[in-house]
Amino acid sequence: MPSFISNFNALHRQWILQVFISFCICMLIANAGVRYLQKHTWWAKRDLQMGGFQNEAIAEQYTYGKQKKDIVIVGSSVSTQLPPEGVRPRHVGTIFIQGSGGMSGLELLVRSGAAPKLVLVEIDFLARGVDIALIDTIYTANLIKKYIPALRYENNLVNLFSKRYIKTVSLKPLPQALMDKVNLQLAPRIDAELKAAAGVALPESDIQLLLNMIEARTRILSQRGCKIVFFALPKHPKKVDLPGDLRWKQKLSERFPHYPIIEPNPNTSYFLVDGLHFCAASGKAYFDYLMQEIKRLGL
Amino acid sequence: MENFFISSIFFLACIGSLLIYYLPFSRRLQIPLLICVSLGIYWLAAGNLIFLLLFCCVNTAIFSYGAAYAAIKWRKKMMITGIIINISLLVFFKYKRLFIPSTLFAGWFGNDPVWMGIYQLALPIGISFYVFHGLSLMIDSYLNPVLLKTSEHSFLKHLQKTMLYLVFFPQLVAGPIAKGKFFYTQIKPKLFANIDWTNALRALVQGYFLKEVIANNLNQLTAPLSYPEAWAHTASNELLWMVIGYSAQIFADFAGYSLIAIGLGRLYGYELPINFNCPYFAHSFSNFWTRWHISLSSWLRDYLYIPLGGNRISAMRTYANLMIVMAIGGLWHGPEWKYVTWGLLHGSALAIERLLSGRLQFITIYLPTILQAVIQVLRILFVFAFVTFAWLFFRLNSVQEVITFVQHVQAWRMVYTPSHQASLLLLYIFSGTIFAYHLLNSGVLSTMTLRLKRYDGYLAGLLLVLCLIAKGKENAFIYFQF
Repeated sequence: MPSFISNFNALHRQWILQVFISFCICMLIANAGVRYLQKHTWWAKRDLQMGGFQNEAIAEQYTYGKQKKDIVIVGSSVSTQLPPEGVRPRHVGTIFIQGSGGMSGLELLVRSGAAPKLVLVEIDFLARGVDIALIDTIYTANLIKKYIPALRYENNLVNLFSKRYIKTVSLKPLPQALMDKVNLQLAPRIDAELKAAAGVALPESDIQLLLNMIEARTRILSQRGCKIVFFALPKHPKKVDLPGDLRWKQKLSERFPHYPIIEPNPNTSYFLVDGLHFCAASGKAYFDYLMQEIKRLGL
Repeated sequence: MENFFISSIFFLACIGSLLIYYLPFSRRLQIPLLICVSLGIYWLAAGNLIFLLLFCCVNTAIFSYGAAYAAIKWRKKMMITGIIINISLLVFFKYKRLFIPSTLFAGWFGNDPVWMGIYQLALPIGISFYVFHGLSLMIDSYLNPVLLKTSEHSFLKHLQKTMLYLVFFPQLVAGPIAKGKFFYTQIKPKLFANIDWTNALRALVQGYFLKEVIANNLNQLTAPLSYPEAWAHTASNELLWMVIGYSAQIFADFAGYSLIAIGLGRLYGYELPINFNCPYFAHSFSNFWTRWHISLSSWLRDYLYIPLGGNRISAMRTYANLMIVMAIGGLWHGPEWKYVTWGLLHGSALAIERLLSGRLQFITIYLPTILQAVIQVLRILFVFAFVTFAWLFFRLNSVQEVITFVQHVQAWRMVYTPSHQASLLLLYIFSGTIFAYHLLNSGVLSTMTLRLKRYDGYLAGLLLVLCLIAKGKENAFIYFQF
């Protein structure tokens, strides 16, 4: 043995051998466990979107396992309860990315090669663009993750734990008194938000760039036979028909006249727990409304 | 730099540089190679701010050399000048916004774009660490000139060694703060045959486990602490556990980083100081500061507290010294008053403890052994509770937020959300893991630990697998911001 590695004595060798053996055995057990859980237990039934569940896991849930859904809804965390997990029909898949929006969902659909019959795109946070870091993470070492499912984020021990212990949300409507109290508390915050956002508009060049990004992705999906439908989210009464939102919708309908935009029913009120996100009951109600509208449009 | 220590570029750079570093013919070039690799890494992270680091290196080299070799009457002056320049750099780049409002600065320099550009410069990464390294070398060179004189009497050699001491990449951005006398004497060509493989890899595996699995997961679980508007919708017991979780997170994050740095240092043949020694098992505040961020607390003790008179002066002066040292220790973490408050809080605890300790010891000495043990456990719990409460000043944005947070916990409100149970269970598990880590390392289970040590390679393999299958979402090391 050359002198410069002569210190690699028996103790070092023994320790490294222990690490290697233990690593291989633990990895085999973890992988076998994940494969077993995927086939035999509560695992497959859970389709968590948020509530401590990571974006990576949500994206992988779709990328690696749920590509055969007829309808896929893509959006931001605001759409999370569309519909709540416990009442989600088997043919509906969802990709809701926190901090990003529908564009990341579209990108995932394109990259994963999926071809659902209908893609519902939330338009409110499309301007956030694609979360490139997330997409890169999902597709880094894609092949390894495909064959060693234990390495996927969706199978991360912490995410498994969340899947096991996060309970399905209750669809019971919240008491009116509580909703009134929350709305009262929210009012000053929403006023402040509106004040901060007043006069701030997305430059025309950015809008065109975003429209081009949407077009590039929806074109690919259309070529695969998908139908595209946009939908807007219900807003807090103070935030309805803000100039920025109206302009964005107008630009969308001008560029994509063949994709319908479903607007919330003005006669129904939805409770938004923080002025933005649905409570479970409202999410279910709005999802039912979306499905009705899709039927009405003959899609 | 944020996730640099877990990036593939980093692993490639390490393996590549290690291979070249230990080639027999490159032994003479080891120090320049390590300096180049370190500077390259820093340049990738900090860009042009590398020139500030280089200036600090040259300044430290000149004045530490002067402090060791100049005529006796000049040595002290050389050291003081070097210290003033280094501290000025730190004050200007780190604390200018705390002491000089931007309007006042603009008034002085008439909105000159160059000066305003300097004023608005981002905080140079690792400045607190490399400036403290520089100060240490200058003081040690003055107090113990033999330190430098053991090497060749050449300024260029000294410059090279000083540069390596300041820029050595494992300790450059977040320590541990190796003292001059500790690191400088280690700088010499290294042999592959001397690598302590087992201890280096053991430290690396533990470090990555603490960071990737414990700290990163706890970071997500304690994220609601950043959103005061969410506290009203969160159960009080969950809020309380989030603070305990943050306490575990900051330990796992920083101890994890320190272990990675120590492991990397060992691979390159350098021993860095241990930074943590089961701090949450401390039975007193003074004991806590001999276990938490040991390299900083011993730096402050050696270069600030003792020169101020330490505890060899009147009681009042000692208390004042404790407050000064802890306030500066707090300020070292960042240019915000909340850090000063945190430091003063610890300073007060140390002063009060010092005031009471003699009397308490007198009482406990006459108690039965079992009661003494119970008191010891209660003291550990009290110190942990206080330290954990003080972390709120680190985590939250202002003293007002701390007060609001405490009110929300005090209200003891129960709100059950679907994720509540899972989050709480995960907080118990990860915080509990830190408790177990303390238990295994503290010597409480010494016989069992010794027996286990023979097989800890298997444990390391398991930890490695957990780093892959239970890691949390990446986030920067907390101490990178300091």
